[in-house]
Amino acid sequence: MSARRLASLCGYALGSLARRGRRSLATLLGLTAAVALVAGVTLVSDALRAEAAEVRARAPDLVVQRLVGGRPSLVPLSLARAFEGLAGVRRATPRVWGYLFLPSISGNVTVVSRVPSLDAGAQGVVEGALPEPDARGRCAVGRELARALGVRVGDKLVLPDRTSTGASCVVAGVFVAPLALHSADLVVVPEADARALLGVPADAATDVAVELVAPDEAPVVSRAAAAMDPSLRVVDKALVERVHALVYGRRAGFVLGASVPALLVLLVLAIDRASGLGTSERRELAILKASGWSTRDVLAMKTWEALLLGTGASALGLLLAYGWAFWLDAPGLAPALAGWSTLYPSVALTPTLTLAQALLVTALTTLPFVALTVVPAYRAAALDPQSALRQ
Amino acid sequence: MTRRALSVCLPVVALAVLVALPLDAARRRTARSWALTRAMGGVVPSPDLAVSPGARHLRHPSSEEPWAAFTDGPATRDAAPSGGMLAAPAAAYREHAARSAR
Repeated sequence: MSARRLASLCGYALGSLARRGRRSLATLLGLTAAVALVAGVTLVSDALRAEAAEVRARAPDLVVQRLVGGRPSLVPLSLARAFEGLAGVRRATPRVWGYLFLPSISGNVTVVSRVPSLDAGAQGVVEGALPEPDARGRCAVGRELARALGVRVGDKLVLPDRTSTGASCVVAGVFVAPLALHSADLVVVPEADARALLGVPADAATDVAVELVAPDEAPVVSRAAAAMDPSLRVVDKALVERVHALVYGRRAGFVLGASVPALLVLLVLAIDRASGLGTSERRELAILKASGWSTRDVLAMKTWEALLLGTGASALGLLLAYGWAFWLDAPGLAPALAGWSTLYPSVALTPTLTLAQALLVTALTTLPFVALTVVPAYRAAALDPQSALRQ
Repeated sequence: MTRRALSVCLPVVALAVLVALPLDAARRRTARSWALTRAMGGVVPSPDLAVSPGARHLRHPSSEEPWAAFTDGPATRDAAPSGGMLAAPAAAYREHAARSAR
C-alpha cells in the first residue's frame, strides 16, 4: 500500500470519526476517564513508595525491639551494648522515641531524641538548627505541627509530660517544606529531654539501631541477635520495604476496588461504542466495498480510526492523571492513598513516571481497543456488499 | 490543515505528550534535593511517612509488632479513622519470621 493511499485512508478515518461526532466523543471520554483514574492511583502510589524508599536508603540496617507480654517494651542499655560485640555489627545505637498526645491538636506527635551518630549531615533538614545533644530545652518541630501550634523558630513550646506544668522547649528549628511527608508530626529533642517527656529511664532505650559492616549479612546478624534473647524482635530493611509495598499497594487496591463500578461503566461504554457496528456503519462499509475498496483498505481505515481514539485517550488520560497527581497535588486521591492524619502534611510528590510506563499504559489501552474495533469491522467487510446493503 | 494531514498529526501529538510527561518527571526528580530526604533516614525512627498517626500500627507500620492492630483484644477493630481501612501488614511479618527462622 503506497504512502499516499495510506494517508488518504487515514484522512477518511478522521472524517469518519468526525461524522459520528457524539459517538466518537463518548468513546474518547469513557476511555480517557478510565485511564486517568487508574493512572492517577498508580502514579501517586508509586511516588509515595519512592519517597519512603529514599529515607529507607539511609535508615539503620536493623532495628532491634523487645516485646514483653506481646507488646513493645523498653530495651535495657546493657543488651544494646551486647550487640556491639556481635560479628558483622559496625555500631549499635540505642534510640529514645515515642508518642505524646497533644490535647491542643487532639492528636499524637512523635517525639524523637537526636542521635548525632545517625543523623550526621542532617542539619539542612531544618530551617534554624537541630537541637544540640546536650542543649536541654531546645527542639526542632515539623512544619505542620509548628503551623498547628502557631510557633516559629525562637518561640517557646510547652509539651505535656508527667508533671502538671508540662515541659517547655525553645523551637530551634522547623523542618523544611519538601520534607513534610517525613516530618509533619516530629518533635526532635536532646536525649535527656526525650527521656523526661516519654518517661524512659536512663538505663533503657525504645529500640536499638544497628549498622552493619555488610548490609547483606542482615539475616545472619538478625538470627544472632534474636538468639541472644528470645524476647527480641529484629526488623530489617527487607521487612520495611515489604511493609511499604503492602501498605501503599493495599491502599491503591482499595481505591481501585472502590472505583471498579465506575471503571466498568466507562469501559463498557467505550467498548460498546467501539465494537457495536450500527446499521449506518454497516451500510457505509458495504458502500465502500461496492465502490472498489478492498477488505484490506477497510481494515486499515478502521485500525487507524481505533489508533486515533486509543492513543488520544491514553495521552489525554495520562496528562490528566499527571496533572491531578503532581501539578494539583492529588486532591481527593492523596488522603485515600497516603492515609488519614490530624497533622496532614502538604503532599508535594515527585513523579517516578518513565517512558516505558507511559508506553505500557498506551499499549494496554490501545491494543485491546484496536482489536475490539477491527474484529467486527472485518466481519462486516467480509460480507457481500449487495446482501449487506439489503439487510 | 487538510484532514489527511490532521489524521497523521493527532497521533504524533499524542505520542509527544506521552514522551513529554516522563521527561517532565525526570526533570522534577533531578531538581528535587534527595540528599535532604535521605538525611531524614538518620532522624526519624523509621522510614514510614508521617501520615496516619491515629494508631500505632498506622503511624509506623514497619516497626510495629504483628498484632498491633488488635492491641485491645483479639480481632478488635481500632478506633482510628483509617484503622478500619488498613490492617497491620501481617503477611510481611509472617514472611519475615519465616525468613529469619531459616
